[in-house]
Amino acid sequence: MSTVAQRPPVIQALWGYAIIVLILFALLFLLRPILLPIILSLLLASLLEPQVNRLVRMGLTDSWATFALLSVTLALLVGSGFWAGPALMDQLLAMKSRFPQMLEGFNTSLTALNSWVMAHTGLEIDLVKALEGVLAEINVWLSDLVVDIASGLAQAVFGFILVPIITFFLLRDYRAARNGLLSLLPNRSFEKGCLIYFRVTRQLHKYMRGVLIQSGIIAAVASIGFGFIGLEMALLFGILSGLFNLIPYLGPLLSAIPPLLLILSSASPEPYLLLSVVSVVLIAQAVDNLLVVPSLIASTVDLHPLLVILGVIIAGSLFGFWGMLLAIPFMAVSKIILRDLYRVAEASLKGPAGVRVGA
Amino acid sequence: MSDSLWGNLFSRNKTWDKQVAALWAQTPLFNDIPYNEIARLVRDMVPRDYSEGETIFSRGEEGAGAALIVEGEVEIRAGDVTLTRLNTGDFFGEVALVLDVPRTADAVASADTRLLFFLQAGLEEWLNRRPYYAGRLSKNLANILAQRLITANAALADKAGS
Repeated sequence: MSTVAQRPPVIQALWGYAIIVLILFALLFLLRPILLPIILSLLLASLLEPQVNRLVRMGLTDSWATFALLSVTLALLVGSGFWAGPALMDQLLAMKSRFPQMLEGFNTSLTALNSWVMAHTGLEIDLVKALEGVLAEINVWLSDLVVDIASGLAQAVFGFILVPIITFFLLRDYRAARNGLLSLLPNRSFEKGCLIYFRVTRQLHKYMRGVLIQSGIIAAVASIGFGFIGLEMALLFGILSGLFNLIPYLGPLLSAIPPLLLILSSASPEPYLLLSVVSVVLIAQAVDNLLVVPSLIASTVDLHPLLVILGVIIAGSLFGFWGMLLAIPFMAVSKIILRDLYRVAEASLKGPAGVRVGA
Repeated sequence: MSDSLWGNLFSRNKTWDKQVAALWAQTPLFNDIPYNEIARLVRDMVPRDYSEGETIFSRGEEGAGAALIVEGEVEIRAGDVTLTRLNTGDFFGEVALVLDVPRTADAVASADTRLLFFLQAGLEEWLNRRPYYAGRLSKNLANILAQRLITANAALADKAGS
C-alpha cells in the first residue's frame, strides 16, 4: 500500500482510469451480442425512471409502478409502430430502389459543378472521384439496413421481447444490483468508489435523457418541416435527422445530405426544394440550439467544444457511427473519473501528513 | 457472509434487514418515521465488514454517507487522540448525507465490526420516491447538526470566557 501512496497522483489516477476502461471494454465485448437491446433498455429505463418514482410517491410498490408504466409505454410504442411502421418501411424500400438513380443524378450534378468550378477558378478538383467511396459506403450501409429490417424480423421480435424484460428489471431492481456491485469494492476504496459511481451515473443519466428528448424534438420538427415543403419520404428523413442529431456538430450537416441527394437525383432538381430542405434543417438546428440545448443538454456535459469536435472525429474514424455516438458520454465520464481519482490520490498523499501536523 | 455472490447481488436476508431497521428506528435520525418505511429503506443500504484495527475512513477523504454500527465498536480519532468510542446501534459520518465535504476525523474499527452505509445518493433517491418520510429524516438530521452547533458554540464561549 505504501508503494501505491508514493506514486505521483497523476500516475495513480491514470492507472485507476486504465483499469476502469479495461473493465468497461471487457464488459462491452462480453455483452456484444445483446448490446443493442441493453443500450435501448438503458435509454428507456432512464426516460421512465422519474415516472416510476412518481407512481411510487403515490403509494404503488416498485413492481406495480414499473409494470404499469412499462405496459402503457409498450402499448404506445406498438401502436405507433403499427401506425408509422408500414409507411416507414415503404419509404425505406423506396429509398433503396431509388438510390442508384440518386447516385447517378448526384454524379451528374457534381460533374456540372466540377466544370463550373474549373471554368471559373481554374482549379481541378475531381469531386466525383473524391465522394465515390463515401457514396459506395452509404449504398452498402443502406442495403444492409433494408435487409436487416426486412428479413431480420426474428431478431426484431427477439429485441422486442428482450428490451421490456431488461427494462423492467433495470427499473425495479437496479438499486439492489448496484448496491451488490458496490459491495464488491475493497473497504479502503468503498466510499471513493461509491462517490465516483454516483457522479458518473448521475451525469450519464442526465445526458441520456437529454439526448433522447433532443432527438425526438428534432425528428418531429424535421418531419413536419419536410412534410410541409412537400418532400417525399418526409417521415424517414425526419427520423434520420433526429438520429443524426445525436452526433454533435457533424450531425446536422449529415442530416441534410440524404434529402439533398434525393432532390438532386430527380431529372430536373428544383432549386426551391433544395433551399427549402436547407431551411428546414436550419430551423431544426435553431430550435435545437436556442431551445433544447440550453435547457436540456448544456448542463449535462462540461466539455470544451473543440474537445468535443476532435473527440467525435477521432472516435468516428476509429469506431464508425457508434464511435461518434458514444464519444461525448465517454469523454464526459472519463473527465469525472480522472478528476476524482486524481483528487483521491492527492488527498491520500497529503491527508495523513495533515493529520499528523494538526494533531 | 457465506452467501454466494449471486445471493449478495440480488437478495438479502430479510430477518437481518428487519433487525437492522429496528436498530435505525432507535436512533434520533429516524424519529417519527414508521418502522415499515425504515425496513423498506434498509434494502437500499450497503453492509460492510471491517476487521479490528482497520481504518473505515480517514480525515480529509470525501465521505459518501453515514454508517450505522450493526455489530462491533468504532473509534473516532483525531490523529492519536480518541475523540469518542461508538458501539452497536450508534451511527456516525452523517454530515456526508448532505454535504460533499472531507471527513473531519478518522474512524477506525476497534473490534471486528459490521457497518451499514446509508449513502447520500440513497437519501436523494428516497427524497424522490418517498418525500414525506425523507423530509422527516432531513428535519431530524438538521436537529442533530443544529444541536451539535449549539454545543460547539457553548464550548467556544466557555473557552473565550476562561
